[in-house]
Formats: sequence, C-alpha cells, structure tokens
Amino acid sequence: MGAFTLTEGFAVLLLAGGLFFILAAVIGILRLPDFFTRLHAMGKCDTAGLSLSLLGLALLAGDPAVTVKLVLVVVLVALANPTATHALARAALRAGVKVWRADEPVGPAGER
Amino acid sequence: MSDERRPVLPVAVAAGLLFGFWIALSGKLDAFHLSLGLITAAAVALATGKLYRAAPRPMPAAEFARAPLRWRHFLTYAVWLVWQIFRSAIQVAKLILHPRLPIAPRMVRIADDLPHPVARLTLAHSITLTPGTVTVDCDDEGMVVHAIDPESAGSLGADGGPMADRVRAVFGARAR
Repeated sequence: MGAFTLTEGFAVLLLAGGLFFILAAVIGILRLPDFFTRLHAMGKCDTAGLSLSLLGLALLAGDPAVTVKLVLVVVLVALANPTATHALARAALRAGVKVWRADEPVGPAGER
Repeated sequence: MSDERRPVLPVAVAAGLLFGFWIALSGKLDAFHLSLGLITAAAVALATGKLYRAAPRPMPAAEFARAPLRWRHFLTYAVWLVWQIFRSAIQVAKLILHPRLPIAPRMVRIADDLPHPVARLTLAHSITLTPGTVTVDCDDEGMVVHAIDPESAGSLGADGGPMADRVRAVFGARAR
C-alpha cells in the first residue's frame, strides 16, 4: 500500500531529472550575459530536460499508443531543437548581435 | 522557369512522411482526421518545397542500404550522441548554477571537408548538441561555432576533431 512500482520509481527519477534541466535552462536565460550564451542554455538544457520529462511520462502513460507518440515527440525535439538553435544563432549573427566576451565587465543589456 | 518550380519527388516524399507522422500521432483513422492530415501534410510540403532545391545532390539512402557496415557506424554514433547531449546539458547546467558564472565565450571557425550536405548537417547538429558549442553559420569554407569556454573551443580543434571523424565514418568517407 502506497509503495511505488519500479516503473513509477523510474518515471519519477526521469521527471525529476527533466525538471532539473528545465530549471537550469530558465536560470541560464536569466543569468547569462548575451544572446549566444543563452542559446547554449536553451539548446542543451532544454533538449535534455524535455527528453527526460517526456520519457518519464511515456513510462507512466499506460496506453502503448501514447508511449509511442511521446517517444516520437522526443525524436522530433532532438531534431528540431538544434535546428531552431542554429537558425536563431545564424539570424543573430547576420543581424549583427554583439558576441559578449569575458573581458567586458558588463553584458550588452547592462546586466551581469 | 523550370528550375523555379518545386521539385516534385522530394515534395511528394516529404508529404508522405508528414502524413505518416500525422497518423502515428493522431491515431484516428476516420475520414475527417485523415483528410485533415492529408491537407496539412500537403500544405506543409508545398510551403517548404523550395528548400529541397537547395540540396545539390540526392540523399545517400541507396548507398546507405547497400553498405550495412555504415548502419553499425550510424547506431554507434546515435548512442554516442545521446550520451553527448546529456554530458552537454550537465556541463551547461554546472556553468549556469556556478556562483561566479565561469564562462569565457568566443567565436571559432572550423574547416570541414565532409563529402555530402547531409554529412555537414549531421556535423553541424552534433556540434550544437555536444558540450559548450553551438553552430552559428555554415559556408563553403567551413563553420562558425560559438563556444562557451576555451576548453569547448579546443575540443573541436581546427577541423571538427574527433566528432568530424565519427561523422566521416558514418557517411563512409575516409578518415584523414
């Protein structure tokens, strides 16, 4: 009574891991100094966080059709996220967004 | 004028794949949902059709099927890449949560001599998904990569380093 099944235990671990990375991505957006470094936070932590969360949910889904759908969405995210990251980075470079360097004391929007 | 037209075969293949993906995700096989999916898939394939004209050479699918060894390389590569994605997320999360935010970003240029546009795409995506680097631009001479710290920039070397070698192996090109 009240005990986790093994599947639920794994699902909770995956969801917790996913939430950790999504939280890290959000903190990264707030803390990092410029557009390009923020892309690192979104492009990497988000891919990992979303994948882990969705895999956790896939374990809990029960209905195999839902599990297959969630796994397909993970594949889509893994392909779409670097594509979107690259498209944003390229557009920023072409638009002349400045690349922040560590020897500048203040970020482009005056933060840090 | 004829080269301005959308390539018919790639658009049809894209529409078919999109429609298959639609059916897999919707799971509904009644006339309403199927026709909705067909219209959506066709519209998306037509709207993005001019992108396929940019690919100068055909996809190496036939070549792939004839060379079973490369499938093994591809699977090894896929597993390695998933592992890299998590290493990468952990590394960025560490930097973000570090009290001093120890980043030293820079742009670096790497040369690549990959034989095929899909191979270059694979390398560019792999760079974006591995620790500390995001591919920003890609031209005839190589790629522009934003690295979040010097070690990340160093791991790529001047020509993509070990990652480019892995992509070369998947696409059957000789290692340097």
